[in-house]
Amino acid sequence: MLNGLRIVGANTIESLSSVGRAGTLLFQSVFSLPRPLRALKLLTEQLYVVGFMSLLIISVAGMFIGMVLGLQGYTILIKFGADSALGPMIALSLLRELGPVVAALLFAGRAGSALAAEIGLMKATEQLSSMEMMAVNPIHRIIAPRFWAGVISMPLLAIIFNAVGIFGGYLVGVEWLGVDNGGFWSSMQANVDWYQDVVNGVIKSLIFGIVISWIAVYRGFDSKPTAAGISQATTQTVVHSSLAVLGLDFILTALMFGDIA
Amino acid sequence: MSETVNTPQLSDNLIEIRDLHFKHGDRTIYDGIDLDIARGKITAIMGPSGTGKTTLLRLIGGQLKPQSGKILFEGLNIPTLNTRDLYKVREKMGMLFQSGALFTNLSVFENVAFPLREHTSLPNEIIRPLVLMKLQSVGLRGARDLMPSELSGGMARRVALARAIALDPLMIMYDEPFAGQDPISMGVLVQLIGQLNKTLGLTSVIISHDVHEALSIADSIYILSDGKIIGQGTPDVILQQSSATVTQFIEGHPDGPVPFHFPADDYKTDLLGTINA
Amino acid sequence: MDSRKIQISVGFFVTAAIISMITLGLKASNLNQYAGQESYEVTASFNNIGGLKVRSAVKVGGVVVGRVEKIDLDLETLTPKVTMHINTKFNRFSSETSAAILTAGLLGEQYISLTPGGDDEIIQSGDEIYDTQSAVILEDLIGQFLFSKDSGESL
Repeated sequence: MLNGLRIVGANTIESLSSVGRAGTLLFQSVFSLPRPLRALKLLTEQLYVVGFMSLLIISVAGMFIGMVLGLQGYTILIKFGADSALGPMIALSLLRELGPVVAALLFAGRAGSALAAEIGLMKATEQLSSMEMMAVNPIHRIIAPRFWAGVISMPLLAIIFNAVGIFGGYLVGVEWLGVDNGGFWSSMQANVDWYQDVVNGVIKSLIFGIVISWIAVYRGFDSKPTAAGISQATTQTVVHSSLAVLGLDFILTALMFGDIA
Repeated sequence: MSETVNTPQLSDNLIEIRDLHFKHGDRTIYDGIDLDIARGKITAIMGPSGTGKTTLLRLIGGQLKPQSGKILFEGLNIPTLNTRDLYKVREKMGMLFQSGALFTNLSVFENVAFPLREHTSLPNEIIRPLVLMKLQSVGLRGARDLMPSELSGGMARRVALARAIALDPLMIMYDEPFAGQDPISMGVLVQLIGQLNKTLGLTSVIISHDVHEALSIADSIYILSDGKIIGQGTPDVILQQSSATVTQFIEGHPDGPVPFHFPADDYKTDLLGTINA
Repeated sequence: MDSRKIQISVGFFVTAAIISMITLGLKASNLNQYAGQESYEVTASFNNIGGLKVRSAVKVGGVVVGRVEKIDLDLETLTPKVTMHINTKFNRFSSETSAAILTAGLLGEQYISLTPGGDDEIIQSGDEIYDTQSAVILEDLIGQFLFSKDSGESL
């Protein structure tokens, strides 16, 4: 019994100190930036790796989800004669929830795990250490650009996901299943509010981007410098950031949309 | 001793370590040791595995902080420096890690150019010949466009060495440079270390447990064990040292002050105990 | 990795996102209706607003001329009061204009339909429309139908 208490206490202290280290890393990444010109070049490189390379999976997933929404939505709505509501149904589902959340989960799996693995590997092969010994701050050079690239890429990817998804829904609903083209778009436009739906969705994905990027770079930076340590860092990144995204989604949804009757 | 601290430029010792205490968790790694690294000379620090030799390099480089004691680099006490001054001092130190620690996403050329690009604003026209010169001195100018994954272990270490001397530092620290090398690579490294020390006027600190190689090029040797210095001096002095611990280490006897058998109960009772039980 | 290729790819990525955002704004949402359009305020009281919601449309003959801004309960008369924002482009409604809550389609959403009257006096900002028709409540309709059936009269 006493031993059990001891273990709980030790784990709590370890978790707290872990959070402390994570916070310090975030603070240093955000507030101590290297020379602007150099920083831009590093950021651009990372935007390519983190953002551009995720375009394929995001677009394909968005297209498929939009198409499925179109299909499923149609089969349900047609029973009530309400197929004119297909447009807004697809758009609102994507813009408010599916876009930010699914894109975030995919991002965590693809880019988040890659970031953690890359940083963990650099730590294990002493590249970070040797950089430090060459008087170059690895947080400026390696961690911060990757963090910011993740934060910037996430909302952009979610926007693309939504646009492609709505297009996919249009293809299935209008072109294939015969929903009226004009009605599809006009009822969508009438029911989708720019600020409430589109902008809120972007805000959600921005917050998700911050959380995922932070968890990924921290897990990589803090990993044990062994092969097992890197693998653990990678899986923990995906698990923790996915759970965080889903939990935050509920909180944000309640805050943003809770007052709509 | 105190005169050398106040007049860093004229000091014979580039690094002076005084009364260093360092603990890692519960384990005491260094229990009040004193060490001098002479300027322009090759100093080897040797000892059995796990005595914390790499830790010493990290302490000198400021990556770790000791519990107490002074680490004076050109008169500056490393543990007391703030981050900015520490980074300035590090520009005068070069370090060769055991694995080379090359940046895997950069070519050999870019790896060596890295410190130059980071710390100077020299244009490409000047960086290029500088990098080629450094690569030439380690014999790898022809490999400049290869990626680190295409290099053998020995070649990677040589590239890392070229990178370490890119900014013409005052001192280079070698972490187990000879470990796991074939005889030819070993010979190459031994020659390079000696040559660079002479031609560039470097101070070299070598952490190693390859007795033969270290003794062949070192000017001064420290042997560490259990957090204390158990032997020091020139190679001749060490070889003549009568301490049993030192002799066992130098000559590689399997049994001696470092015992062969892990502590255990009496052998007979242990064996017979299974029969009686 | 050649840095020109990287810059072009990142540029493409950011451009794609911007285009997507613009498309979403114009084609998928009501952004074009927000774009700097002035409106004036008109109120109307109804006995029952049915399923009318904030942001529901205000139409004339099916053409959207404004939006429902606020739905409140008048504390003195205890009747629902609806506040509409009408686009200043449509500023020639007479004071005899009537407002009715209609349903778009059988089960569609509800909106306010304005029928222009004949008076010369024009509705100004802050005025109230008095000629109103409440929403049709399905239960009342069914009750009417059953009642008339019971008494044997055909509809």
